[in-house]
Amino acid sequence: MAVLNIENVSKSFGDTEVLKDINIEMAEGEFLILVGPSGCGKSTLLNMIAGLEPITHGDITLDNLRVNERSPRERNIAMVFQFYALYPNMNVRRNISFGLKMRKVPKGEQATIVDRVAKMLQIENLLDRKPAQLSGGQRQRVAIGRALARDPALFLFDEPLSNLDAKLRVEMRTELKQLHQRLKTAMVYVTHDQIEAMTLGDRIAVMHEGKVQQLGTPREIYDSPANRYVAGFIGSPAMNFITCDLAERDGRRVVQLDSGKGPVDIELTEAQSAAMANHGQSKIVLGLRPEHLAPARESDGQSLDCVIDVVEPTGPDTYLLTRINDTYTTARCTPSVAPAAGDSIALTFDIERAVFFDAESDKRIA
Amino acid sequence: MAAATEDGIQRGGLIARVLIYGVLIFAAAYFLLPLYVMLTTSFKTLGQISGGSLLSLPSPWSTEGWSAAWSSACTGGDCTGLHQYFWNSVRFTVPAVLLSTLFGAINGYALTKWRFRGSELIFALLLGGTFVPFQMFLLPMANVLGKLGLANSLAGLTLVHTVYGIAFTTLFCRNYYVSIPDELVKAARIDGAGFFSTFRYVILPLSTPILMVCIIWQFTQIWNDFLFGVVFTSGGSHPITVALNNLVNTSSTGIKRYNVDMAGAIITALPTLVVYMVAGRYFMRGLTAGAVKG
Repeated sequence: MAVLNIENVSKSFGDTEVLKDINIEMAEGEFLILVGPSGCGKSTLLNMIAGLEPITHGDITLDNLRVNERSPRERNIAMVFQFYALYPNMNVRRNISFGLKMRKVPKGEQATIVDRVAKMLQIENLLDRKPAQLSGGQRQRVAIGRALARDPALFLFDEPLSNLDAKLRVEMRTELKQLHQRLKTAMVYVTHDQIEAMTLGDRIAVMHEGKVQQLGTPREIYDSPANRYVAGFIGSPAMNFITCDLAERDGRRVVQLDSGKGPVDIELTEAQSAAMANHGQSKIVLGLRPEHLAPARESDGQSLDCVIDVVEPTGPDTYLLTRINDTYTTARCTPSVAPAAGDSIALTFDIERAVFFDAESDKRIA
Repeated sequence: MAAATEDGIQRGGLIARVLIYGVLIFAAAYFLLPLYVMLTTSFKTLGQISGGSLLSLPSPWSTEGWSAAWSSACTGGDCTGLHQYFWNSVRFTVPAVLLSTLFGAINGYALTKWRFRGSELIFALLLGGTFVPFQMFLLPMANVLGKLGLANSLAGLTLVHTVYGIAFTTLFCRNYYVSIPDELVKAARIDGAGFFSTFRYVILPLSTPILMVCIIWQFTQIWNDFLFGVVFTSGGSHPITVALNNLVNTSSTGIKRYNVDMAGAIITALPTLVVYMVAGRYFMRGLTAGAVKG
């Protein structure tokens, strides 16, 4: 049963269309991420689910009930905001119980709920403090507590961690995931951070320019991006995009790569060859993640001699920058085999993991 | 130049210091002198006033002027002092201040947190209201009060001041509420609060500084108003400002009773002074808080 169903939803502010034909169906207990750059419409979509923004077109169904015209209080949802939005004049206890008070929950029951939520989030010792006396992480905990007290069918999170410092953000991310595993309540989570999206989501909707570019599991999004935008947005460092010419050799398609020492042919797999043949164009964009481009060992077949311009150690991995077909390209290796800047080494391609895009439309070919 | 001081701030030499303090003391004395003269004169007898110097202290101190001003001096034909008019002023100033402040706060809240099509236009029109001079108000308002049956009444005067004040209080509150994050109101809506419960439980508790600004501003304007009072009321329902004018200009014996006049003027000015002292520390804070992000 779907807890949330977004059907053909679009949204315009005056003449500007900010969301175009969004379709998302969410299963019970699912953790759905809306990820995209600023201005892609992800927060607007969340506000529309919450009932804070009217819907221009289409339908939103919550728990099999069309909610288009319902106010936020008539929807079975709770929301956590980026800037916490705690009521500054109320202490933590009253912040958490405010929604219960507005819904006329009896006093005794309110106290029980506040105690249960505070225990779950380990904020029992903060209940009598005002928000101004709390740290950023504690405030966000209280904001989550306020949502938990509601016990909704669906939680909405609007970039809840982006105001925290890096270390705390990672801790809270884990806690959120544990919370979801414990509650098993559906959550919609908006973020611009692709790592948060990958780590938290059961499914991810990558949004750009008011459209859902791809909706899928983190694995699907990472390994089989639908287009060049998704491929470039997810993953850090970003996927390499190398424009190259296709040729044919012994009945197999090859891509021609040049690191400045003359072109070298890299042979494609059978499936890739077939897709290229179907596609018919001679110029394509090769998408290769840094971890699929590494210094070659003796045994490796296809490789390309490259001059390494920049070496970037990050600790566990070292990234190597080189130029292939006049495009800066990142390769990844373990620190122990890292060359020095200026060295020339052979790089090998994990061509089976490579993806290919149409040079014009940026759509995925293979 | 003087050497660096303990707190690291360079201050001028001795001559500069003397000059600065000299100017400041002179300015303070210049502004305080009239108050001093008023106070001392109000406690003198008529004999001391005509015989002594303007700056001398009363001897002995006499409360004759004060009791006359409060309960027996003549304002026009009526010789019962100012006390009746003082309470008149209280009776319309307090409700007018509270009502205009409340409406201003609700307007400001609606204009910033529940924006609707045309809300900016309405704000612009309200802003225009702050530029309308008193005089333009008089005839239309007299007409309206007549039709409402409120002419010559304190209720009518309350209405006039409330309406006239809303433009100012809305402007103050709107600029203050712009700096309150919209997310707070969104959170309250998600929590199930409507328009008024969000105002009551979330916005109003954050509004103390700006409400103080509105109260001081409105109290000063309304209490000190003369024109509306003299136009829209008559006889026994005059506010104290009009009565003070009548007191000073009525002299049955042909002698100016300066002690009574001064005491009357101080009685008239006292409530605004008290309001400033009680709520004044919020005034500057509220004005700047609204201005920073407004």
